[in-house]
Amino acid sequence: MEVWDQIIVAITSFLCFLILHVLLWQNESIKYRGLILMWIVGALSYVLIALGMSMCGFSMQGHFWVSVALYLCLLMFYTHLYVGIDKSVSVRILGELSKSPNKTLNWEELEELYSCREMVHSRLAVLLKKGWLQEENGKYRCLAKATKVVKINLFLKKVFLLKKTG
Amino acid sequence: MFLCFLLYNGLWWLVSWIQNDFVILSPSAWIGGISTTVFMCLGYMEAFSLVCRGFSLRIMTDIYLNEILSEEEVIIRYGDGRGTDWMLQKRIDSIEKLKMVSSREKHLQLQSHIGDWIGWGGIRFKKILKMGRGG
Repeated sequence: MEVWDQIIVAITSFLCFLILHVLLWQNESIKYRGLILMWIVGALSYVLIALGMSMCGFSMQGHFWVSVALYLCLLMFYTHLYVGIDKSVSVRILGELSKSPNKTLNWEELEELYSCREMVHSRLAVLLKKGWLQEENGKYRCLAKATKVVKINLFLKKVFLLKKTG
Repeated sequence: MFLCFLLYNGLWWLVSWIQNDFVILSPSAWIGGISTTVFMCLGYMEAFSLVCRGFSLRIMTDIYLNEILSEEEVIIRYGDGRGTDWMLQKRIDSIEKLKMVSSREKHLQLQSHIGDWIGWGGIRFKKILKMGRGG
């Protein structure tokens, strides 16, 4: 049945992506292991599977738009999961609680394991490294691309009437 | 927001049905259409959550609004002067609302298996992909 072919192509591509993703992320010598690389690996996985299937006499033309849509949907789900686990403060707090004896922490212990200072320090380091901020005598200033993004953010805050963000 | 997503999906279905001369869509068209709308909704959710809760974006916004800030000032002035403790409390409140943790007299305790699984799963995921401690 044609519909199963489309689902098989999308799921096989996603499995191929997962394998490549794990293998690449295991290699710590790769300096950039972020979302752009993840989506490049994602695109390559689909192309690889599509080529493989075509070589086996499988016609991709008929259902390209369906298998791509399903595959992108799976990839977007995975991106949510990845970003959530990597960046979410709530997930990190749950992780620290999960590791702790009796699954309990007091405020001081949490501050020691995951301090606000550490959070800010690591984010500032990343923003500095990626060219969003510049440092002048221990103080930080937004660079042009950060200013553009912040202006869009402030505009969206107004549009959605969001008062307390962050 | 989820209501808007439902409306969006409903609208897609209605327009597709009309365009298909009121004939029920084929399974392929269903899969393609629903996948595309879900993809758009997930992308929108990611962007919206960045505006609402993005930590780095909020730091950049505070620096931009104050022109120049030191690390100490970023901690104090985070979130329009509410401070990073406010942010941490906000996160704890949100997982408490979901009944994953309980917070009493400055003590946090895991309350549900789901919270435990998320915490444990997050640690395993980060270990497998060598992502560091995250957060």
